[in-house]
Amino acid sequence: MTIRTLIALVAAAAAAGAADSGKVLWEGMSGGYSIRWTTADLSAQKAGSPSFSLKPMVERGFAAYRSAMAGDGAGHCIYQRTFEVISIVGPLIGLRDRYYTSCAEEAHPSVNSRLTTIDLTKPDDGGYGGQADEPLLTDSRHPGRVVSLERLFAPDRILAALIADPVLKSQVDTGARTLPLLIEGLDGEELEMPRSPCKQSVPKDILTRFAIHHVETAGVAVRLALEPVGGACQSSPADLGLLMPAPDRLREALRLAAERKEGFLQSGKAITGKTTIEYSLESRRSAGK
Amino acid sequence: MQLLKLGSSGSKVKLLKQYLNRLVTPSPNLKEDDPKFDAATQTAVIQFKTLWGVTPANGTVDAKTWGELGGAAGLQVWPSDALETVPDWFFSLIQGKTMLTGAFGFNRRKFFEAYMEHYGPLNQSQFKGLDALLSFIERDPDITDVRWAAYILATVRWECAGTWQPIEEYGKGSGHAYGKPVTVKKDGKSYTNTYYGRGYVQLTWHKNYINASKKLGLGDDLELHPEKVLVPDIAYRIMSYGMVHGEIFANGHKLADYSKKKQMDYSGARHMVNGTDHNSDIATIATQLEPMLRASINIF
Repeated sequence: MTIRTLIALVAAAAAAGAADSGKVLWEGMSGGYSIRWTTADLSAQKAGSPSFSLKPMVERGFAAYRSAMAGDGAGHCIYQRTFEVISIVGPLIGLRDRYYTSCAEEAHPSVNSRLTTIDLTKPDDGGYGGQADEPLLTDSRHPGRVVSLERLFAPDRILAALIADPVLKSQVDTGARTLPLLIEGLDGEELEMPRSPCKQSVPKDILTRFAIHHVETAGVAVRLALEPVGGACQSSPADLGLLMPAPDRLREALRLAAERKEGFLQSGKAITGKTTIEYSLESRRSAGK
Repeated sequence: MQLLKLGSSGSKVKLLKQYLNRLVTPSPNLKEDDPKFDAATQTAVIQFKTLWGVTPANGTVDAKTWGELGGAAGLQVWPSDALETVPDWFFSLIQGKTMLTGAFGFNRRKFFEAYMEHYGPLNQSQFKGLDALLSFIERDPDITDVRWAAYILATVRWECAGTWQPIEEYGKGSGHAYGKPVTVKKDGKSYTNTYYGRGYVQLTWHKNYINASKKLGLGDDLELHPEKVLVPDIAYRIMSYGMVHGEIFANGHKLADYSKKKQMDYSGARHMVNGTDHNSDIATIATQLEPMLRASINIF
């Protein structure tokens, strides 16, 4: 039987704030950029010219979602991204990016999250969000502004920190001699986490899912975001915490951020808030279905 | 898959010890709550391999060894629960009649051997849960294609986070719109419930509970008592009805829509539940399960 489907797809860009009229959560200078974080956007300017905004990234993600949902007939759908800034160190902005989609006619919403570090000095020619089936997977060929941990720390240092992590150490073969071999070996593993019934997997782009968190005497604390395994666990993400030696080229920026002279870290009085960007669409099927 | 050997530790080692204590004669009496793979565990592994003809009979546990442990456990499941874990099809054979009303019967030993060889060991709850699902499929006259069975099982494995039980969503919707309680008044009584994810498809939202209850002929029972979606039989009926008829949660998408060609569109089938959410993860699981199911279909 031929199925004829009429799709009424109304992609109404009902962004929560078309212009950035949101409440200011933090603003200041860092790494030569003027950065403004509000409930409606996170943006940066250099010498008075706009150089970054979250909105194009979210729009790219919504376009992929809208394309994937064409023909689904799932009714009224919401596409929402929520961002929390974890740190601003020089031109590096560490974010927690939460993805949420929900349609009226589906079994349940879809929830996902990751950590991301954006480098304001890089061109915006990719990143992630272009794939609806893996909406938070970094495009390895075009990472754009998305920073990989290897750009900040030597691979052998990252390897040493990972194999010393108690979660990994107790559950997986940590005998890998190189970082790529360790990451490859983690593919498909389901890690049990302390005090949680939810297992976590290690995404293949794990090295791009990080944010600088705070500094300690022994080094810089970095969080790496894992991915929960299973629908029942989709709202229960977990991070790994690594303590890395501070790279020389970041020492000054880390000091300024720790003292909150430029940017900030997660130490002292917390700087909190959320940027929410939301779109909606209608996807209907005809009675002839 | 992770190789277990002398010096390894973790929950898989604890599970290994449970198997060894029951499968090696005399029982090595390994400490089942100790996550360390010690010398006594190594000796017991060698004894098991020798006893069951697993080569090489060394002290390491790889995927093949798990498969053999699973196969052995299939014959000699935990003694205290032996009656509970004997599958329905086996009872039906003993009684000289078949309980099957669907298109399939699955040889449990063949299936569980293949499953555990691929995915690793199952604990008792997982074993029972997966066995129950196979039984539901066997009795379900609407499941007429083994690929549908594979997709149903793949959905449950993903949605229920590998537990093989119709569980509640962890976090109970906290922080989300659907995590807010809803009060319903019926016959002068008030019922306050939260319609977060429950059951084999993690059914969410008030409207879906109302629809499920009506379609299953349960009146408003699931709306007033959403915890009943955690009952395996009800959870299965919701999933099967939804996927076969394209209703309740499936927004018009049916299993039959995705199985018209020789190769089932496991990736597209995710539209029955939730758009493209983790569609490739679930498609991979279905693709892995399909040959296991095919190889274990019983010819009565």
